[in-house]
Amino acid sequence: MTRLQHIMYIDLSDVLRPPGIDFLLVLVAALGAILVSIQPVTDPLMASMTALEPTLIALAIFLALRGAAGVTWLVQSGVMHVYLSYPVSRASIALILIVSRVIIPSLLIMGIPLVVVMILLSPVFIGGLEKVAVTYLSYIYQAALYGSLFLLIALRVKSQATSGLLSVAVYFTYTALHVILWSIGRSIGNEFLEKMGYAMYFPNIIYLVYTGSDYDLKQLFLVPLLATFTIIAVIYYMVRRFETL
Amino acid sequence: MSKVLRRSSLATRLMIIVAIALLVSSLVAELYGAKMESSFRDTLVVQGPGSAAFVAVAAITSSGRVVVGVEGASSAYYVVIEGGDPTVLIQQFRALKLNVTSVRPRIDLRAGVAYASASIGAGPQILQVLPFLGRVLPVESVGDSGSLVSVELKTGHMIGIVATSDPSGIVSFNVKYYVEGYRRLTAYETLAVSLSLLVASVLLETVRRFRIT
Repeated sequence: MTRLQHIMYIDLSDVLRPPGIDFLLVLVAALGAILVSIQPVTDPLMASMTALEPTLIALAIFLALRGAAGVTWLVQSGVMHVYLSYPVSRASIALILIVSRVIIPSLLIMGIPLVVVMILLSPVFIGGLEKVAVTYLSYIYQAALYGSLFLLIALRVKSQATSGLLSVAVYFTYTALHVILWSIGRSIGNEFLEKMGYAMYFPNIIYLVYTGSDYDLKQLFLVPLLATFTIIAVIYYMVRRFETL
Repeated sequence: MSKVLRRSSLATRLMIIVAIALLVSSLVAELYGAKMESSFRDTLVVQGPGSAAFVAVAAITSSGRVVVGVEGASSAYYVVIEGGDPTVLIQQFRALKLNVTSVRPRIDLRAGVAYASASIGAGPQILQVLPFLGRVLPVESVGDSGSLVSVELKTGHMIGIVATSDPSGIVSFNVKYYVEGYRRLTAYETLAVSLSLLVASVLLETVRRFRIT
């Protein structure tokens, strides 16, 4: 096992340690499956969005409290100092933190409810797997944006409570901003504001794509670009500015 | 519980999670699962010769066939609209000052369908509005029992029907909605999948521990 794999393994074990994530997964998977059982969802796109919508809220809170705020524990306990003493670049450590604290938990937490729903509604999902895969990917991009933003906050403030609170506040502000911009754009007739506000939530745009509604190419790239930008910002901060206590 | 989970591999934990979630959702589905049929009936008093009755049916999450029977109408027209909400559509008619009264909205979540009916004071005007929503078609007459329209609705689509009253001034809508294209695993199938996953997780864990020791 290389040094990087070793760090990744330790960090991932910390993020995915039971029983917290197990209970969360049971709850979100059961909730998603219940939502598609109590109403006859006949479209794979609609079925996957019905299951993933509440899951994303739970995932955002998980990423804020376990994923990002957990980094501050690494700093306070001195584990981060040990990581940085390894002969590996800071950029590699930042990438490992992003993968183990944002990407893998997102894939897992969004993936399990989808698997449960796909088993339960397998006759509905046959023939719509491409739609489901793209919808899943859109939620992962949205989660990657939230998670990397939370990671940046955690690396900056280095306090577990402050990081958790700030991250949750940022998440709700972003969600509110998406609605506010869209509503203001609609009410004052500013198409750019309306479209950008709507595009701040990537699954919305995927829904427009698959329902044949009008959308702009810039709407399609907004969240992926924002996510890439925040990931680069995390790596930049780790390489240039980050200091352990 | 926590100790057992800590000693188990991630694959085992995930299999147990999927099995439990399937069992829980199957139990809820058995008690309060989706319905494959839904109906809506409303009788509207239409005031004056220039007035009309309106009903809209939208497939919110499901898709299926909607059959609408209209009684007491001298003529009726329907339009299939891509997207939209029946209640919002009626609010838009109200915004156009079409003198909308007796609005009755109803959502049947278990069938994934929404209904709304209303009495509209401006019959000729609403018939002028309909072409802006989609292609307007006349509703077929079926003997003396009334008129009937049967349409396939995709998810998110809506049908709106406008009926002008005969001299009695009373129009009745009898809507039946049949869900098509929905099938989930039965309780026995779900139980079989869950038990298979649980057995597989026990086997996986046994093999893993045997290999470690």
